[in-house]
Amino acid sequence: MPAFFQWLDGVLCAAKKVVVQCSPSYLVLIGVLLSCTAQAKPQKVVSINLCTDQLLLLLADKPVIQSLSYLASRDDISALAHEAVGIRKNHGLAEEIMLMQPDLILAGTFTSRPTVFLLKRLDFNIIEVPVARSFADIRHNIAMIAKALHEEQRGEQLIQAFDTRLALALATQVPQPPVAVFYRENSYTTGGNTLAHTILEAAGFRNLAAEMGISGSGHLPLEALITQHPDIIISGRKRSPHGSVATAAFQHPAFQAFKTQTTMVTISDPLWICGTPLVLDAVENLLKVRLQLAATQQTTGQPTP
Amino acid sequence: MIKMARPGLFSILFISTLLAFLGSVVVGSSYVGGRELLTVLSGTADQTTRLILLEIRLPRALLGLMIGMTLGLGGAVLQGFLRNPLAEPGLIGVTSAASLGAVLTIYSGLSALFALALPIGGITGALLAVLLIQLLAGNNSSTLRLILAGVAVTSFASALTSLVLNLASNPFIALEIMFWLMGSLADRSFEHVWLSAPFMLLGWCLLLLQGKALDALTLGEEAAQSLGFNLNHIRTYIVIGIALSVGAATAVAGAIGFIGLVVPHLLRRWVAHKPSSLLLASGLGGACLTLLADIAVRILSTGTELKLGVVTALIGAPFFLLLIMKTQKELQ
Repeated sequence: MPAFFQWLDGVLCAAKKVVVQCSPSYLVLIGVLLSCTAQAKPQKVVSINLCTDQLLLLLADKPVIQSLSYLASRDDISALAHEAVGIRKNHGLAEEIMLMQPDLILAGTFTSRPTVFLLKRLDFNIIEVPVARSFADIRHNIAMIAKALHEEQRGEQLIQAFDTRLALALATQVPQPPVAVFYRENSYTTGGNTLAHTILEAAGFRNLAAEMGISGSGHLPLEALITQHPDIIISGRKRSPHGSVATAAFQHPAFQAFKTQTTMVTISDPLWICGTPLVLDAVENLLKVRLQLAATQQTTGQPTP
Repeated sequence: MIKMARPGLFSILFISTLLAFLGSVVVGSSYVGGRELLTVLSGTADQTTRLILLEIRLPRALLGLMIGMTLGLGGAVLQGFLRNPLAEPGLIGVTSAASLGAVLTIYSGLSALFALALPIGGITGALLAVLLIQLLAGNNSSTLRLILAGVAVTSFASALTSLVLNLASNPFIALEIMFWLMGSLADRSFEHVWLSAPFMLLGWCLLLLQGKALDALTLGEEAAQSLGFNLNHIRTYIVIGIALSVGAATAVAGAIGFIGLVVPHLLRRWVAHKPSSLLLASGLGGACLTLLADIAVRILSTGTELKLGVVTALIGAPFFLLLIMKTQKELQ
């Protein structure tokens, strides 16, 4: 259904543009047709979403990038924070974006809806990139942005490099995949149909939350965590040095006792948030954990229960 | 003091609302301001300036005006009808129901398809709430039942909203819902104005027509009935009027608190405590205050915009306390 609406929108928009631009004379019509077949490459691109920020940095030349979202240079959530330094930041408000006069705007499907609709209404060239939940989504998003940037070749290359690296990671499999679980602040866990689940599976782990029937993100009771006894617990990087209510479960005596019987892994959050080729860093980091786990099991001779 | 000339009051309110409206058009995150407005009016402005002033700032200012009017008027009508100074437009459950309807469109992904999906969801929620309230409150003129029905609808709709947040499988959806619930006028377009204006105008008409009945009600329910007012009908008109106007306001901007509660209190003494004169005064006062709060949002924010609903509550709550203490002193 959404695809249909997008298509309809596209058709109506194109029709409108042709009618508006072609009314003066046939010469103009021919000009429009020519410019449609060989449309100019965007020269001023603005991104208002953390994930499109990163894909844009990977696919476009720096001079073309006019502005990124204000989150782009925060190294606790953006995997390419360093690359974003020195590029103008925006806060996703229609006014500031309009004044930049961009010829392409990248947005997420869940960010600043009113702003996106307003910019569309004002005839800005805006593409909405969906949230990636799988590797296929990542390829799709790269191709989508590459096409809008007229950087198809670069997109192809990026996807190919991604696939080669992914195949390499998938090739290192061991027969018995260990069970892992995400356990974060507020006993928040991540189940099936998510990017994190895809990364976990690619690294050869089973996702306990997904096997318990959780799709998307959900809550994992401490009791369930202890009774299901996963081989590794994956938690995010500590945010507040003084602790917070959200991390209370980590201080729980039951959790403290359980921690000693299992492997705790902290991950680098920025690699897990957005669907970019950088998720392969996360996959490779987890692969190392799995190999270590297999090594310790071999030396102690204890298979996981 | 009490017998202040009312035309004086209305002209003050009218002029300050007009100034606040102009302020709302010339204040924003970019350089575009008063001088640029003059170029637009004289027709010499460039395309970008025109778009910013006419397509971004103007609808925002218009919505601020209409929503403020709605909240001020709604608060005054309900406080008059229920003869309860704590009544506010959200009391009968319309705000929560409209929020629920809007939140459901975010949750289901409908709001991502076209701009008006969300406000249409909100208005639908508000209209369903009216049906429910009329059903719960029954064919009964008791104001107590109306309040109780409102409380029931409010808590039920809030519980469902929390449930939706709870069930959101994607943190991006949950975040989007939470931000929307805080109330904001940022980047609304004329589409929002055209969608909500008919509902609000119809609602205002229904509410403004109840002035005489509210005056009679100051003498008590029985006295009003003996004067020929059918309280049942009046209640129905008021509930529908509130649902249409406040429902549409919430649907486009989210819940904006305290305006409807504070403004009637502020102005009551200046209209000699006469409910019928309070209606229009309170509407204008609400519009003025909402516009000012929305200007404050833009001036105070560096970068990420503050939410209007948060700012009105921040200003409104201490101010309300002050007002209560002052009234107490006057009574002693």
